Amino acid sequence: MKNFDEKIRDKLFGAEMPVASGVWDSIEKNLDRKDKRPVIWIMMLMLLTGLPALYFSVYHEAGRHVDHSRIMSDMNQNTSDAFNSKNMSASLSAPEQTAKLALIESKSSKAVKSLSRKDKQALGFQIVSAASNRSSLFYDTEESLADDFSRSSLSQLSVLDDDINRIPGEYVYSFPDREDALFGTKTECPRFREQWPLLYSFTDVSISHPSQSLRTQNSESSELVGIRSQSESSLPSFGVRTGFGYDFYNGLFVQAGIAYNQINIKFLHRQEDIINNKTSIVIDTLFNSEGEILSITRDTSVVQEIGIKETRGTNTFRMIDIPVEIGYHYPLSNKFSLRASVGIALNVRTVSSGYMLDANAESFRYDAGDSAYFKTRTGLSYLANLAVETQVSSNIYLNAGIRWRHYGTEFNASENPVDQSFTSLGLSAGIRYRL
Amino acid sequence: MSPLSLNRHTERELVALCLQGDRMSCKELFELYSGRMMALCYRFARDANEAQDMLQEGFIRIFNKLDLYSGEGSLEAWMRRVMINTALKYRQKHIDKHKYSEIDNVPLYATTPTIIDELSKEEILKLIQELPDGYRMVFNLYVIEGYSHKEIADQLGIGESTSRSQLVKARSLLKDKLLNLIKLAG
Repeated sequence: MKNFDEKIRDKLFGAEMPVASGVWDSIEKNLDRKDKRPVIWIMMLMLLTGLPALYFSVYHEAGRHVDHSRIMSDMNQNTSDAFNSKNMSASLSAPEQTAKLALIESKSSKAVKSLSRKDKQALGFQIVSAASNRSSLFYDTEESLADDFSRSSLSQLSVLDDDINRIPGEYVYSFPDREDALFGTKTECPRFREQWPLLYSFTDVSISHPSQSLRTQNSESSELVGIRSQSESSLPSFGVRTGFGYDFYNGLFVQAGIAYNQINIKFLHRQEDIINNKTSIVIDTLFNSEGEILSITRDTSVVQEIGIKETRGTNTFRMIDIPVEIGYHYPLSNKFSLRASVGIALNVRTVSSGYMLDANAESFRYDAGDSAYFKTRTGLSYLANLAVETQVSSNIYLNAGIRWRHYGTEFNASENPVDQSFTSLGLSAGIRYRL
Repeated sequence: MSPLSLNRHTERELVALCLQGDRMSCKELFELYSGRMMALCYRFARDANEAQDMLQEGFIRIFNKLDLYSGEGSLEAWMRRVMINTALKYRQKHIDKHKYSEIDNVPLYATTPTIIDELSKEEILKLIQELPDGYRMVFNLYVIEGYSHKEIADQLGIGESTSRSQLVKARSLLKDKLLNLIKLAG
């Protein structure tokens, strides 16, 4: 045998064959296409995550760097409005009105100082009860600070902020609606909240039990479907997703994001196979009557030993989707509410690897790149969620519920005559953050 | 020795240029090795078209995975490995429904042919190509590429014993074909 093998090897190992001229061109085209793929993916990811993040970050920054001139203008307007309101005007005497006007116009704080405590309170000034009260802008114990009211730039407000350890008992004027923006104690911007007051981001995880459905339109493969159904069974699967959503005042909400889901299928197949070969050599020697050898014949035969070959493994389907949902938010009590939603998920990428049976019902391993068995094209799946939610802080909500999803007949391909689809039902838990 | 007597430094330079995306260097590398790789693919394929497809897929994989070549050992040996993996995957994708049916009737008797020297490379290649899929894979990997039965078993997802039996059958069938060819030639 050695001799035979060696001769074949010597003949063929270094052999060369002519290559058609167009092969390189095809390779080069393919290389160009592969080069562009990462760029497309990066652009898609930027579109999905970058734009909302950019939008949020712009307003987030706006909250940190307050537009002083605008707020000053708003503040003056606000104060004037309050002063000119019917109730306020009716309750103030002429000297009080003069004093407040003087304060607002900031020509002098002496008019304020000359008022009684009662009159000051009637004008909207508050008495400081603790040094930690940061809601005050102006107080009448320091004339120079009262004069700051007249300045167009709120750069002086930082001075006020630094000097906030005021003595209890002093009078201050409060702008509760603007305090956070002015002092930057929160990072949100009034404009942002005004435009998107109910925008939220969400993240959730789910664990599910998928059920696999195998079908074929080819009658010759119906037996294969039966064998495969016995070989493949479901294992716990999981998913994670994140994105942005918006709650409308009428209870409806919409949300979209990006999701990663992994479906696991257990593969176990037993089949008869050759497990051993026994080589037997039979030598027949023919003697004549005198004991001389007439002929020697030698037969070599191989006897196959048949046994059971077992193949086991886990088939995985890893999917990246863009879920888009619409739902309804129904309050159950003060603490809890129900969130129900339905939607579709655009499957942008599915990668599968594991074991399957070929047309002869023999097992073989396939890898993630074998698109002949499982398609990786874009497809749709359908999903529904029902969750109970509770609010744990001013803008954080926790939820838990059930999730259903149907993946459609996505997982078939030219070399795989069996349509494969999944329906999963599982539990989900997540968090929502009101931006 | 590598084609065109390239020394290792030149090979490394070529690899480095390919990794930088230099298409001319990629083409040069392709031209240096495509003949040998085509012969390799031809042994795993059923016909020239299939061999060409394997060659194309194999070189795309080589260029995409070139950064995995450590530089130690022969570039050609590494390329052969990649090309073999590609060829095996390609064959797995295009499994013949009746790949074993005709083989079971082949008598498994050993002979000692000494006719290989009388045949050309092309004739032997053609005969190997006519072997059924399973036998051809095992025969190529064991006899020509020097894989062990364990390596073949891992590579093809079969048992070692299966690999051994396929090899015995492949040898037997190939010898029969060689004998027939000689008989026909007169």
